[in-house]
Amino acid sequence: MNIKRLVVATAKYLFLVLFLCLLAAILYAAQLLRR
Amino acid sequence: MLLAYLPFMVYPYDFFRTGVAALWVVIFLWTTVAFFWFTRRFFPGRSLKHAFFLWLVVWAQAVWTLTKLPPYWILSVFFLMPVSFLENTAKPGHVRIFSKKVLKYFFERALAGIGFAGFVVLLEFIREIGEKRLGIHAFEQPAGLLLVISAVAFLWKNQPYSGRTQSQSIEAELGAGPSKPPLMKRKQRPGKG
Repeated sequence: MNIKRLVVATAKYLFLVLFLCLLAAILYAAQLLRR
Repeated sequence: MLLAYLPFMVYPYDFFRTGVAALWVVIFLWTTVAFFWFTRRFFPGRSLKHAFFLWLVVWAQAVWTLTKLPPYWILSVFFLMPVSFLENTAKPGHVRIFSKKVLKYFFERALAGIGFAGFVVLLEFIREIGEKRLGIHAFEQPAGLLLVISAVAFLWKNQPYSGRTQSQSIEAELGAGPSKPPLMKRKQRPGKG
């Protein structure tokens, strides 16, 4: 039970990191397309 | 919807470009609602709101960079968002993905988006007529449209022949008829001693 909770929490934080990467990629792509 | 329209008052655009801006706002609203509806359960509990605002800020910046749309276009999206969008009481985890509830929810959002686009185009049309055909200078500024909006709101609140006076409407909204005022009812209750 504890392991499942730990895995879920870790997966959620990993998803958050992925989301932040997506936002950074959007900003970077906008800068690239501007040139 | 009125708050969401406020940024459009100061855009220096013509009729066509205002329509395109409204369309972009509506499409981005639908994308955002769909994205967070399906991914909100994947976020750690406290970070959902921060992620949502970061998402808005990043897209505002990116679109500003690319299309020269003024950066406050994102305010329209923010004000168009449903009020209960990020509250903890809404739990999409208990709703099946393709159930009727989800369809109804997205249908309502779609209607809100179409309504907003229509509202913007209508007001821009009024502005064009007022400014170019009638030559009213007030329509070159937000003041003209504010005047139109307030006049429409005033007429809407005071519709003649609607069968109800304003006091009757207020009583109906309070849920108490003229024979049962709520204060009198409270006084009739027995006290402690």
